[in-house]
Amino acid sequence: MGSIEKISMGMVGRLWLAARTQRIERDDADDGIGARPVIECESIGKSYVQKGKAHVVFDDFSLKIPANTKLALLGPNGIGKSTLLMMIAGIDKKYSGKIRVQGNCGYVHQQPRATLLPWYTARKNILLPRQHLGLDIARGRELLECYAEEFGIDFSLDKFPHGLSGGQQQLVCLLRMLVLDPQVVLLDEAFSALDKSRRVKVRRIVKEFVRDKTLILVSHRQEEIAELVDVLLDLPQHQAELVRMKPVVPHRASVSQS
Amino acid sequence: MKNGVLGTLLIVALWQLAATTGIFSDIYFASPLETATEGAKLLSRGEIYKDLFFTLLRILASVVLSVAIGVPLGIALGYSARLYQLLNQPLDFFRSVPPIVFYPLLLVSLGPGESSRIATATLASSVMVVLIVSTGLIQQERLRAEYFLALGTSKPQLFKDIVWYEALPGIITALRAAASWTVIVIIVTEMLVGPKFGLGARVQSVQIFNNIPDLFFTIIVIGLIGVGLNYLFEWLNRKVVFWKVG
Repeated sequence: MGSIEKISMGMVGRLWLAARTQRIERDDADDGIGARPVIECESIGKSYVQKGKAHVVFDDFSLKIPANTKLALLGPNGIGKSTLLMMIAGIDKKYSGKIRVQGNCGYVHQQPRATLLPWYTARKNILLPRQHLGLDIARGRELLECYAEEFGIDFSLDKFPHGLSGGQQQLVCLLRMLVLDPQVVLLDEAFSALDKSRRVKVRRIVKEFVRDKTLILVSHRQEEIAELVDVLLDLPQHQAELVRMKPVVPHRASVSQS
Repeated sequence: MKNGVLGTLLIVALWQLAATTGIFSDIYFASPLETATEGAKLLSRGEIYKDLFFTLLRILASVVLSVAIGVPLGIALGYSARLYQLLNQPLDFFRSVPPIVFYPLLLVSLGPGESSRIATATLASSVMVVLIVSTGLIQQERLRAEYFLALGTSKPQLFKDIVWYEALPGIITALRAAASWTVIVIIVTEMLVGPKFGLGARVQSVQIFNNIPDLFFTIIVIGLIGVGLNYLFEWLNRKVVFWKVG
């Protein structure tokens, strides 16, 4: 993996234009180099009302992420990193504009408990997405066995979520994502509740896992970003700036070859 | 449990004290001993079992009916915001009307038999069930369902694996509320238009015959039904909604 390339906002603006003009020519001709975006956000508008005041999170925000990109979203709290991840995952549908994602998403929420089903065991929780999507369950069990061993899981997967610690719940969420085997991986502070040694181990497994996949990461930890990600995207603080610049991760040019 | 026994003994002691000092007239008061003796007699004679059986049967029928009507409707309301907004006001109105006032109306339309009694109780408690189940669902974390919908979970799968379980705590609470409403309404209707057997009818008749110890004992039996139902639903709650209690 190459070095991290930080895209400044000015640069993003230029690259976006470049990417855009190129893409118009490329779209019809399938060049076979995987330049087509797997994730495409088209003039996204998103706002919410809090205490009677409207807050604009995104205004005419566009983003194209090519296949195999490993991207981290940066920016201060409340800028919309988690919101963007949820919108890409399809969980948050209250926005204007269009988001296209090719392939299914494996999303890990920042609060492990929030997306686990408390009435099912950890094992059932992990296998349920595969079951819902009609994917091979036997294969899912195999994968689970494999990853559980790699993780060094030291608790019973027949326990219910409320019987697990925060860290263990987070491991279950990560296992669920890995066992689903998605093309797009969306991680929102997905290692935050793990202790240090476990975190290093799990991170390595995830790094290996996303090698031929697309990853979008939200994390406060420098070492996570350094290890997992090639491209950084600063979500700007001021909406005005965002409108003008339309941040976009350009294809190939900035994604180092692996 | 230990404190509960102690509390009961205290009340019985006070009751006995009231009887010994004779501050209440015999015309409307029975001592614990008189009540117990009368109770033993009634239990050995057996007719109170019939009253108990028929009252319980009516309660059961009403609870089953109100759950059968209220739970699906409650889930639908809890799941669809539009339906909830549409029906919330009318349901709130019906909840605010004491259910027993519908009895004369149902008496006229359905006749003095079991159907009008059960219909009155069902009407009252199914409204409660709808409100409790739908509110319970609305208060659930939306993220869980959204997560699975985004994943590609189908509506039937969503219902089976998520919505149903999210509704369960509300359903148990609703059952409990329905049961206590039903006990009240059934007994009152039994008192108003007496069936051959039933605890409400018994209360009426023993009062006419001025058998105060019998009346006291019957009241205790009715109270015990409520207590028994409470224990039943607490147990059910622990069993069914284990992830909340645990």
